Amino acid sequence: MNFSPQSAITIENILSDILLEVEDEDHKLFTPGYYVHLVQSALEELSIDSFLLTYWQDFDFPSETLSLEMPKGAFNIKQVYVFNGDDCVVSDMREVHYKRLYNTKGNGYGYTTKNKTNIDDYFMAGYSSSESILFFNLQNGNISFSSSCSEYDNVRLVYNGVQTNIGDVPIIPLPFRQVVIDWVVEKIFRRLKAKDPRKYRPLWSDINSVLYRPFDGSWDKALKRARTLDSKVKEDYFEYFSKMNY
Amino acid sequence: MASYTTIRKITSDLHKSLRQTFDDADISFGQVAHWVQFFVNKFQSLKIQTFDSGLYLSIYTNIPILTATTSTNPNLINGRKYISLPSATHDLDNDGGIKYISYTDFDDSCHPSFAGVRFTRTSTTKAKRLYYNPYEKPSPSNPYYYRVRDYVYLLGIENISVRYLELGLYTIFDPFSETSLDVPLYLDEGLLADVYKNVFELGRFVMLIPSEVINEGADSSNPQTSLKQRVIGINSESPVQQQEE
Repeated sequence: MNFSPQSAITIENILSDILLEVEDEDHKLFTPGYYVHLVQSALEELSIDSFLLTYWQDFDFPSETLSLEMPKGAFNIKQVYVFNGDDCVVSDMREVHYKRLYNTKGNGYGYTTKNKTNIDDYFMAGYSSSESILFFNLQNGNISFSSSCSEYDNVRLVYNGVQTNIGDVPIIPLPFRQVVIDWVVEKIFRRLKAKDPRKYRPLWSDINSVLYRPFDGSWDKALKRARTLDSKVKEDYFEYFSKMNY
Repeated sequence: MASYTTIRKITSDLHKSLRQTFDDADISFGQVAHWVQFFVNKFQSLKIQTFDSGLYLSIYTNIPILTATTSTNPNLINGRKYISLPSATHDLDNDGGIKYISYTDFDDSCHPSFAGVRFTRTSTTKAKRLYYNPYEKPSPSNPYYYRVRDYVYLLGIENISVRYLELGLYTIFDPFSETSLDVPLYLDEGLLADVYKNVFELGRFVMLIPSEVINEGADSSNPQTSLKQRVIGINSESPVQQQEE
């Protein structure tokens, strides 16, 4: 499923629902900023669980350190490419592959890894060198590239990320209006339970059930929606599969 | 405008009734007005906490923002922006006597200021947490207030120039600060009977006290013959009466 950015829901629009549900129109329970913070948190959780949003970004290749920090908001690398030229004219593009347990301090420092050229590994039959392949490793939010990648000017990362960064005003995708409302209301009642358990525990319990009920709870529904392919994509896949020409 | 009972109407009525019951008592009009004040405020406070009504709301506009240039103990701190409350308010949970504080209307605004940016209530000790969260951090678009007695200090507008604010307050009823006795009480008319009942009860209680200390010539040295305290409740079959019987 996809959604048009033009139909995204504003923070004010979604707050008008949330404030009514928790009866805090005059903000006597929580501050306005706290509600925005919860909406942002809901989108973060939803993005991470559903892999909903895919972004790409270009960087100058770090030819000295061979190391690049994951972009802000990214939590899952999908593809890595290197290329020459610039984003207007991409030339000499090559895909960079993942290599397990690769570590380097930078260009010219060499590297360590489990499988390496000229290292005899008796336990790996038929090992072939990967030196000719461009590769990277990912550790603690840092992407380490092989020195052979430094022949290229740019690196393009395709990744899953969160909708908005912390501190920015969140924008809510249209298909996820209800789940964001339910998620925020659940958190509000959860916090209010500490203040007045007799009043808020039943309310929290109700909304928790609406949100997390298996299959038709709003959270499960949202994940299903996020993972549903667009009809055109689905039809084309069927066509490719039928021709065995993908 | 809806017609409400005025201060003159209720106080005169009660004053006259009490004078008829205790014709030799020295009960002044002001005294009765004071008693009325007790109960009107009590019932107003109860109503405000249980009903969402604009009957008890007063809006003050163009309240000037001040900045103390020196610290004066207690409660005036050098350099902090604040406003002085223009009237006494009901003291409700979370400073609920202050219904809202907003910027005053700007010429280019398309809705009233209270529907735009409002100041959010915080306190001197709760304010620290606000600075931890970028969404809650005090700023001109997300300002806060905290109350210290009759001063309301402001957070988030330290670096901008704002001269006036608008306040919505649940003000208390004070018959002595009114310019006329013919102003409405602004209390649910259905509660006036309770005000009457409570004032009568208070008046009767006050009138009973002197009788206990009157020397009626009895021998007070003898416990058997000395005067016994006798309190009569207005309500029949009060626990006090039952105990005596």
